[in-house]
Amino acid sequence: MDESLLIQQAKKGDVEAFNQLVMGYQTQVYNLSCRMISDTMLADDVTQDTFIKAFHHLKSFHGGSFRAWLLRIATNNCYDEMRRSKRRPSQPLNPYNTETEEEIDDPIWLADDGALPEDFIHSRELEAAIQRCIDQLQAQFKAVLIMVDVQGMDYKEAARAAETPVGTIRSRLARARDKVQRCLQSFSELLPAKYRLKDVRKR
Amino acid sequence: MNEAMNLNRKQLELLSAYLDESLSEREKKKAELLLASHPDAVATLENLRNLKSLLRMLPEREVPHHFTITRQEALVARPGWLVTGLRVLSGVSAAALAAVLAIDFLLPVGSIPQPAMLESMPLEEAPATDEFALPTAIAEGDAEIEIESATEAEQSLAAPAESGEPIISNFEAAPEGLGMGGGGGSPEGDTGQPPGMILPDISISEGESLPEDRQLTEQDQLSVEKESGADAEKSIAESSPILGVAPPEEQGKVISDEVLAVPTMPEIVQQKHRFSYLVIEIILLAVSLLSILAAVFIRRKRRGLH
Repeated sequence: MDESLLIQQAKKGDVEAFNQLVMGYQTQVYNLSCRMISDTMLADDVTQDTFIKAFHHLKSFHGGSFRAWLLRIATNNCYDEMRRSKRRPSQPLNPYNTETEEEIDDPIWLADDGALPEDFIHSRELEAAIQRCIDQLQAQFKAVLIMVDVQGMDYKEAARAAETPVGTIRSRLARARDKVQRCLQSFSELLPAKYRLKDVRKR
Repeated sequence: MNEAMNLNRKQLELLSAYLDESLSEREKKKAELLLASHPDAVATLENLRNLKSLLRMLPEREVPHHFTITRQEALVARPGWLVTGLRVLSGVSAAALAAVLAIDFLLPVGSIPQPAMLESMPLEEAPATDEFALPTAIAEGDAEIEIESATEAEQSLAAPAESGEPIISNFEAAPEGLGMGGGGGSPEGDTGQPPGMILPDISISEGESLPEDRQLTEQDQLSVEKESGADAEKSIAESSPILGVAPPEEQGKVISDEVLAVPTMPEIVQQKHRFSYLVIEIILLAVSLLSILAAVFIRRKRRGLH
């Protein structure tokens, strides 16, 4: 069904119409939340809260990109959650390796790697490394990097989602990319040869 | 270090946006010029492109469950404009009530601004007194003072007469410096007589002599009394009540408590203020309670419906 029609019906209180929109955007909202707060449980809560809030404030949506509007709510929820986490720092429950008697400090590990091919394990390690670099960014830089580079939004849509001018998005994105590049240099052994960053200084 | 060492932030931003094809034509030319001129620009752009590809390759996580919302989630948690409005109203009322109570308790009553007195308003009476006498210490030495004063007066009257100079003196010798009434006395002491008693002056021209033993003739005394009575009335009429001096005929009387119990202007004003504050407090309290009850009632009803 047409998205704008679903929005109109949802504005009138049609929950079923709204749920069709949820089905269309839940993966993006959940992935944004996961990348922003690196905690699947919290990301789950944030995603659910985002859709409930979206339904309650649907009348404030006056057209434009529904995805950007939805991701703005999700981003703000993530900021709130990150602030709460800072106020109440908690120790993540890392898995415990019974053989080495050491904690496994990467969440990659929640996956069952018993019979996985080597390439898959490698890609999971790479993902963990990238996520770790993203985690080091400030919240605003992180949001822009995820929206543009991970989720493929253009500058204008990202600007609407972040409620900032396009120029700010451009600036934040350049700085975020620079920081992630620096960070990934320490994980260069994980990167495929074609993706290894060229150290300009050596040239 | 990486390319950030060789390119400044603006150049890096330009290349980053060039990669995303988000530049204007002018900026695009600028970026191309940078790529052609700067030795590290091409490698930097390549690194940015690789990073972007890498990030785009990040696997999309599957949602653990559907995030569809139920009717209950959609309706129960929805506060609605009415409940929100009532909550705001309750908050405002509570704040206003707290403010009124704070003013009522914290500020002393006397600090309430008083309106200016109108001419038509009754004037505040000075506290009445039944004694219009000299202070005790002075009263005890009355005889001595009077004697001394009388002697001095005799001397002062006799001396000019002898020299033949005109003098102006009081009719009756009075203790100097013992002023009566509101003034409280001063060395100069004006007339030195109780208020209301206007003393006639006796002017003695050159060549005239004082009556024997300073006694005036009956005619003189009558004219003096007549004159002094008229002046006294005039003086009382023109005298200010602020001095708190009662007319001579009222002095020494005991005034009953009922007369004294008449409320003063500040008291009346304070009572009015207190009453208006009380009314405001009651209204605000009622509004607060009603709005809170209404909000609770509406909320329960909504829950019951869904």
